Amino acid sequence: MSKPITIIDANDSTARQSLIELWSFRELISILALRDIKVRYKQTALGVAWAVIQPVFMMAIFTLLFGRLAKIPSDGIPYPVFVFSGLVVWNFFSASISSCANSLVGSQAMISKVYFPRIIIPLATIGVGFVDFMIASMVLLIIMAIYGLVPQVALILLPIFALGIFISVLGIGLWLAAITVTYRDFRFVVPFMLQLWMYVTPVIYPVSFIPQDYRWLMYLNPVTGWVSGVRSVFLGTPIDWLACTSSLVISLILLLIGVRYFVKAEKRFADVI
Amino acid sequence: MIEIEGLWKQYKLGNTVDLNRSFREALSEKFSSPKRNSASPDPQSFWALRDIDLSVPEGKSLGLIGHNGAGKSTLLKVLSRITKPTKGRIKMAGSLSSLLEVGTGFHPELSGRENVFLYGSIMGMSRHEIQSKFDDIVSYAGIEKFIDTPVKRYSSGMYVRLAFSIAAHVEPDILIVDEVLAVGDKSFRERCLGKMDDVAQSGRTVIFVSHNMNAVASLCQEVAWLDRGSLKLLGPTHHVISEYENSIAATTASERAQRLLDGNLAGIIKLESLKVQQQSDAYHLTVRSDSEVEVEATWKSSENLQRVVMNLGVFSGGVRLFTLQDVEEPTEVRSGFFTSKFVIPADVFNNAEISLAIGGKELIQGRWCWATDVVRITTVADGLNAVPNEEDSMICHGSGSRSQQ
Repeated sequence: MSKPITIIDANDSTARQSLIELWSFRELISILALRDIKVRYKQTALGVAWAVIQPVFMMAIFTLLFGRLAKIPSDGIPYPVFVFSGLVVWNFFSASISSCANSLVGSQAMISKVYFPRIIIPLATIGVGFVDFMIASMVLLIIMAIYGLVPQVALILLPIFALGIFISVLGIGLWLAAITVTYRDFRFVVPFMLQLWMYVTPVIYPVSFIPQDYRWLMYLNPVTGWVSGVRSVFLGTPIDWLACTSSLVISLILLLIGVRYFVKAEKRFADVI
Repeated sequence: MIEIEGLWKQYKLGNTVDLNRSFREALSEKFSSPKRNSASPDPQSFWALRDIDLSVPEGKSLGLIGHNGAGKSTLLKVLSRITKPTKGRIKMAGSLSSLLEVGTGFHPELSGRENVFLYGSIMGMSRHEIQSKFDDIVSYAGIEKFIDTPVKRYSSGMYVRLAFSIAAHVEPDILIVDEVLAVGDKSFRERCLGKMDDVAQSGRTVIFVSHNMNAVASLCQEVAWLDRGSLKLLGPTHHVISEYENSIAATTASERAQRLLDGNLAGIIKLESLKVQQQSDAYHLTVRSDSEVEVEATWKSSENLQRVVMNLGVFSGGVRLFTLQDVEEPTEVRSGFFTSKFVIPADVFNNAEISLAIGGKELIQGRWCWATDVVRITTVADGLNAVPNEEDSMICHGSGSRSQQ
């Protein structure tokens, strides 16, 4: 059996080589994701309950402030259900973005000591967000049941929307992870950016709340389609396909930009980190 | 089989905009990477490797030797694909794994069992492979009873044993080893050597970097001597090692320290002489582990400086173990000669290789000077008075003093 030949030179590896290599390291992705999931609630008294407590309390506060006091409409859906369905998506998105962004800087030792495709590190962090997303989805079903709402057949589309969220997280997250290696400023930018971002995403208000003339602005936000889409598949309301298509297109463009930037920056990681 | 052709590696110094790095971090980084001292025409960049041509036939063991900052670690990093070369090409046959630092990637919260799978896959093993070697790994490390305990509860010895045991079971075609022998106790080091010998005997290729010439001599058929990024000499082990040792003997500790002293205080405070154990000016010396080591540095300052403290850093395997100060609080130094005396206490080391660094700080303007690896000391314990230092959490009462003329 002849041994595989490796060539190391100053050139970038081709997309095909990178994908083959990524495939050969696929087990590492799942092992790192599993590590993060296992470690997440270690040495906490409440454990996984935190994945439930956080969104439920946010829901309570938002319902009180925006539902009761500010009387923001919710397209005829009980406000707690409405806002919780938005939070399910938003929390997955924002938690994954921020863990992606910090992932490389947090793995300094590994990056400067061992070789494997660097993209694995940010990729694996999304696993934790996904588990929380699944838990929150279960909780949403319970809250819906409390309000006498029954999930519709459309719920089988949920995995497709989860994939959509994953694509937008990956595009933005890879770019942020790579740039944080050089400019640690982004450790301050990211939380701040995400905070503002939530308010321009239809989490606490429906898209219909925005005047018709400005609605196109909402569609430029890659998360809009996923928030309104997931809400629709849970509650069986008509899916806003325009929002979903535009989110998908924008997410794919961001993914392309993110991956290209990451691959270009990757060579420097071990020297700069 | 490894073929290296015309390999160059450049590090850029000024380009790494890093606004979140404090001055102190930048400073300590400068202290710990003497390779930046190298004279390079462009202050913004620095060639860590210059035109390396080297080939290692399959099944041969190659030793890499050279001073700190000669480019050994950079070459290993390029070989193990952690960093990309700037120019040149490497062709390798077969899989490669490196023992650059055992235990990288261990997660303290996870159990030994979980870490075996984690570290094993980081090192490139498949889950199936780890599963089939699992029992061997655990028994080789000798931690059967603690395999389901989080590794944060392990002693440092257990931790290193488990990490090494996993790394030792990877079975690559090419094995790269860098100074792992600097960690752990003597029996552990012997085990590492034994394992490397097994790998070499089984017809695989080994590249071994070490300052321990005995280990290099016993393991390698060929040795490459790197000097300031270039390949200075390549040939049969004994020939290269004896040439290397002759060149070291030719430089005294004072000469080395004068040549290596770097920093923005180096132009003001100059080292006149460096003496170890009263009279010795040798770069390398051997002392009994139960005797104190006295280091005396005579400096010449060209200015009156207000708050100055001089330091002696004690390193082992690239890790700073402790630092001594000549005065407890920074004090004034007048223009002229002054002498700093440091005493490394007895019974701190067992059989160890330590490296001394010397320098100082001026605290008004935050200026400093520093020279690493100016003296190497081999401490020898004769067994009766050996102090166990496996748990390396010792409290060290070194001392220093200063006199001004």
